[in-house]
Amino acid sequence: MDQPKNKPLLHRTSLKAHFRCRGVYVTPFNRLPNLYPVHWFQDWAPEYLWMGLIIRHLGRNEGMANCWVCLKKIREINGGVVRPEWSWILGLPEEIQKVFLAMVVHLCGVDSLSPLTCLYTLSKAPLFAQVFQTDHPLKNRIATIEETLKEMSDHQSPLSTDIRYIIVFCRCSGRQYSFEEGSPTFVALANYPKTDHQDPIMPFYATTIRSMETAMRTDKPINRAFVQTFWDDLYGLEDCHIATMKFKKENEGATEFIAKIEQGLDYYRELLTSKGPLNAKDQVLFGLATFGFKRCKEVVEHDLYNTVSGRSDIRGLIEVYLTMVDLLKKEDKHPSIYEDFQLYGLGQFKVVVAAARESKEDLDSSHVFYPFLEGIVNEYRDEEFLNVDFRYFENERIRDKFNDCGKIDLYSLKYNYDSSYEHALWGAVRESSLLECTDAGHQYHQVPDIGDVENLKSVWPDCREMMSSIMDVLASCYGAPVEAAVDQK
Amino acid sequence: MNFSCSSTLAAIEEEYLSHLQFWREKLTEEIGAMIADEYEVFWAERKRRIETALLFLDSKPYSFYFMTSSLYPDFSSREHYPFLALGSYHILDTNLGPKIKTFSRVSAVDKGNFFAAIKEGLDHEIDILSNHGGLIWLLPLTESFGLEETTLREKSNEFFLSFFPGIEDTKEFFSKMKTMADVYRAVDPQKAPFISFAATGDPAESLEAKWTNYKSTIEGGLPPRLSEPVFFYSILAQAARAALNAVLVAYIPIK
Repeated sequence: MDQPKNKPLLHRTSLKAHFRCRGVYVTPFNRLPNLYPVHWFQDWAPEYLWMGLIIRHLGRNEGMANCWVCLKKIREINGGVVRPEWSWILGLPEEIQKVFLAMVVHLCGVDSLSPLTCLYTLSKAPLFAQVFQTDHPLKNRIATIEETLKEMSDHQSPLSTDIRYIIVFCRCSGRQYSFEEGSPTFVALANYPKTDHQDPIMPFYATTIRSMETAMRTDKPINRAFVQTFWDDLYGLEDCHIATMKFKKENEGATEFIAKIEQGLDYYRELLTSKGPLNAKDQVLFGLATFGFKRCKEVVEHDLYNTVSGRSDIRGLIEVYLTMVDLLKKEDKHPSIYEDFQLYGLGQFKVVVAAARESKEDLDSSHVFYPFLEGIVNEYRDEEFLNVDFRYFENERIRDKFNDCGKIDLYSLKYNYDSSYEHALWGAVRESSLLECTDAGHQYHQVPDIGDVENLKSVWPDCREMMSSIMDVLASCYGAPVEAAVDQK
Repeated sequence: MNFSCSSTLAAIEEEYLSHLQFWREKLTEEIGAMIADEYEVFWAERKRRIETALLFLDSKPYSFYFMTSSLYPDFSSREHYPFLALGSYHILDTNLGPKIKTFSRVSAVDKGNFFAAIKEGLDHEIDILSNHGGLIWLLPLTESFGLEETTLREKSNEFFLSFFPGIEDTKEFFSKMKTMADVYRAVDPQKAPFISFAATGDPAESLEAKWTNYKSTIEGGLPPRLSEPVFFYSILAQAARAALNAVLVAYIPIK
């Protein structure tokens, strides 16, 4: 049995397993009540960065133990109440803060948290700044924060899980939660700090810890103001580092291919026009093929292989191919389908012409040549006899057409993607026009690609395939042209 | 003057004033190093915003800014503080940074004097922003130097020549400006008020009056081998280079 070739690394719910409701495919998770995505990195990393710094500074075992000792100290002197969030600690009464900070210095050293002095300066956190002030260069302090945040940006990384263990332990030790001795949760809590991250049992413990921490987070409101200030301040301190992708230009044999197709189309033209004026079917099929050829040729002549416009061309070619196949499939049952197809298209132009007549704008500079359009609209019959159909042609949805023609894969894998480009949907905008900053401190934000430094994967292999398919359709109707050939892939 | 450029810088200046006031209030010898650290962080946090705002200086038609000697830059003592005039706005160098950063390295003996100097520096900048805020901006122009010499010369000449419509290059300037009367005639009357040479100069004064006053302050008179227009050029182009060097290197990526 054929196995899918592009299996994802993580388990992903298939579209079939989604719940369909009025045109929306709802994921199983989104159907569960009170369940919503939470952002460990964006919303919580600023609160727990201090623990990340200590663990990185002292190493896993000593770092985790000392973080807990410091928190325990707060609990002792704060009436049994402790929370590991930095904003909460900085909001404690001065005398408690002083004891906590002194404890951190005693157990972990000044250098453990000194990187934070570039964010919590004298004016923002006077007590902290006074204790952790060092003469380490600013750029080194920022770099340490960046490296730590990078490790914390994955909520499943060893560092993130270690931090999440301390959070869970802090909650559990406060007797807010209790677990039956010997239960899997109890075992995970007891063994996690003693187990190495490479140990085969660790994935089980780590998953348990992370799930518990996520569950415990639901009753803790995010300190939005604190988190926002953290990211704003850090954003200013770092320069962006932009990651870019550059695909190679794949256009092997493009010029030769275009010449070959042109020769083939030329052959058909001579063959068909020599016997008399073209009938509606010939006109439509040839017109469509020529339209597709023009788009294909534009890709080659204007070097559109790796561009946004190239995707629009592919979509056009797919549409041409599908229309040709669809018309041929229906011609027996619907003898006037070619004429109707022409009138349907002219009806769409009639709408534009009518709008232009009523418009008060100066239309001279428009890319639409309205007087010529009017001539075309009235070419086959006077427009007074031309209906306008605002539905899809034959009142059939595009997806259904692909399905009927046995080309649903073409729709799912390519047409749908290219349509995003045609309609400026966000997926296409993100892929083509935004670059990613690789700085964790900038939350991996996106930057507009004004300089056009990134390109897209070449459309040429698909372009060639679609144009060849269009030529195949012509060949199936009129026979393969002599000499000129449809590309033999 | 571009709106977003000025509003960004104005907002930063407001923030800077409130920080200056905070530092002045808190300043003690014990926390001097922390203030130095915060000073550095303050400008580092805003570097990108300033960089973006100053980039507008590089694009015409906004790029008529020029080195002047009004207020603080002291030409008579040959101390050329970087100082820019942007239309009706002026940017002064906050030279507090280099001083404040050495706080932790000052010996105990000198600490008293040094501490007093920092206090005086803070007072001075608070005074500037409190009294001239909105007209004068303080930016750390002297953070770094070292722009490539050819670029610097080209840019400073370009800015100098932007005051003389129709003059394409310095060669043409020197060939056409035989006397100062030629200079007064050729200068753009709208931009001339932004050139001044004296600390107490009146911007409403004509360029001729300002130049005559300035000449009278030069000990020993003008250099004998230079024509007046050439000397005029050398004073202003040199000053522009010093300022550009500071601003461009500190904030504008070299293209």
